[in-house]
Amino acid sequence: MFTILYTLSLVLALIGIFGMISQKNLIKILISLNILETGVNLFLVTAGWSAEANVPIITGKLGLPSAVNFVDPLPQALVLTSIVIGLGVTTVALALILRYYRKTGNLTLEPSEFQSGGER
Amino acid sequence: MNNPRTSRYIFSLILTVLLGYAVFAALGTQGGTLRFGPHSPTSRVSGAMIEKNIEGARPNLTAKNHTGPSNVSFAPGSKGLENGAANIVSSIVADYRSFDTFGEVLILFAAVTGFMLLLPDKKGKNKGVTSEAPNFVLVKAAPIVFAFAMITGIYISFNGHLTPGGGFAGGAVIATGILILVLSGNEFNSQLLSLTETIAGMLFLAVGAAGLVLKGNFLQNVIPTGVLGYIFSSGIVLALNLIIGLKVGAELGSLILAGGKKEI
Repeated sequence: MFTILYTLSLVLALIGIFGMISQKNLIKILISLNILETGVNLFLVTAGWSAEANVPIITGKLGLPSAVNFVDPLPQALVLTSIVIGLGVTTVALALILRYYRKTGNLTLEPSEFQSGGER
Repeated sequence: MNNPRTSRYIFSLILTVLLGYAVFAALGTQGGTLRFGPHSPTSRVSGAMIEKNIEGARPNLTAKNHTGPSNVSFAPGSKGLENGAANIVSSIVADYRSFDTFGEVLILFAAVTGFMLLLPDKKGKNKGVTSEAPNFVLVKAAPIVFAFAMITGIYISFNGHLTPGGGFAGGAVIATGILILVLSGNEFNSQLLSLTETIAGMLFLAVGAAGLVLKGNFLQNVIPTGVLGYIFSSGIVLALNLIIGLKVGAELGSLILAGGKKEI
């Protein structure tokens, strides 16, 4: 189960990297960046996951109050930080894309003038 | 293969596969499974965070053999803990690693400021978010939904140390309420949002400075932790969650309001 979760989260991150390399549309690159973030967040949460452990909230239903009962809460707290930073990055990136669109009139990354033989 | 798009995709695929091979090789395998298997949290730093015994575990953590059970028993109703939050993730976010959270709030503030700076103000008369007139159902339902969103957001912020939630989730819900109100054509006082954000940021700093003055560390817990499971039970976790909820809600709300005032 661990292998499946690790592999799938890393594959999700790799899908994001593939999109960032292969696409030329700026919005698609940003979406790929968000997919990459999701994969990394899943990887971090999986690093603290355990099948027989509980949600890290102390309730009266747990028999033996001990650290063994809970999944690792530290990656979850770090992923919360990661999500908020991802929101900030997305915000500023969208503003930059809007500026780019207003300046050039399209959303595609163009080759510069001296490379005019390049692909549209 | 002559098509440049096809060759670009193939090149990207090859690069991604190579990178993936490097990542999986770096993670390593042991007997067919990845090396990062299920670890018990007791062998990690977070074991001491779960057992609310950071102070007591400090000598053991340096020796990397923190395995013994803590002498602090914690269950609903236990008193005098190092940190009284029932939600352990909240206790990490808003107490043990609240300096990280401080930086996180600053990053969000910087992102909103960058958004405001990057886009010029709209010139025409149409200052609304949408160009069309809002629907009748939206106009009539928006204040009700806004009230419920505010209550839910404040509740999530207020209960973040007992149930899943916290300042960031609550702030996002508050901002959703503001979004619905703005979409329905209503005005929202953006100066009120700026004021709320400023006051919340200064309160965050004030809580940190209180820890610095009274206990010697920035953002250290100065409020007595009560009985675990009660609403006033977690020291500065409750205060910081409320402050973060207000600040995040005001920041995201002003971001949404700016969307209607900027040239897009």
